[in-house]
Amino acid sequence: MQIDLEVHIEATGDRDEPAVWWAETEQVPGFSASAPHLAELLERTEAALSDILGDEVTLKPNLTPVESADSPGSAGAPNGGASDEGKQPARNAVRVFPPALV
Amino acid sequence: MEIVTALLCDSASTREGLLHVLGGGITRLFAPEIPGAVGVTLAAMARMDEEELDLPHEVNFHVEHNGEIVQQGMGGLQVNRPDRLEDGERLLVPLVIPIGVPITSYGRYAVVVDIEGARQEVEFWVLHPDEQVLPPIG
Repeated sequence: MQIDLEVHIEATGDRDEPAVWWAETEQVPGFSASAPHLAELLERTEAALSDILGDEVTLKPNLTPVESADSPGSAGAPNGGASDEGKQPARNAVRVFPPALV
Repeated sequence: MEIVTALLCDSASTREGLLHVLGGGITRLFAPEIPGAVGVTLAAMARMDEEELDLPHEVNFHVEHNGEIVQQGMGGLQVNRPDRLEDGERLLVPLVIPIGVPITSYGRYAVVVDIEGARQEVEFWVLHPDEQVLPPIG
């Protein structure tokens, strides 16, 4: 079963605490998981959802932007629109960086 | 994934997949007082393979000085597949990371950026302003 997973990274607001990754999915309302690193988050989420659904799951993770500006230190919204002629094509890039200095 | 280039600059921004760098190539920063802090921006380009598109990636950076980490941070990056991708084409993705570096002593500092094992290191030196050699006037 394929699960569309919304992945977030957030600052904790505490300079001494590292940022945290967390995930949710509309396919399992109320479910969320968190971890200090992305790889660990995906591993935990896959195991947890397999348990909950009683079936093997395949995750389709998608990083969620936190802002709409494509600028330094922010999340760039997917910019799939037209680009200026002669330039490189627009890229659908989401950058969430840095949510926190830890 | 490969970080093909990285440099320190005054500021940088990204638009339409392009990296706009202002005052790039910083290797020296001057701090009149210790302890203090300096601000610098890391501008980098990562090259992504096709199978790395449409997936989130973890980006980490840290700043080293005298064998210790004096600053670190973490972020996320995802590049979605463009409408058209040539056979074998790999995308270049710009990254901009503004960093505030606490300065505890003068000397060499190194900014290390890591995207899931792809790594680049850029060094800079923090000096007292008295050590700044200005060009002769006239």
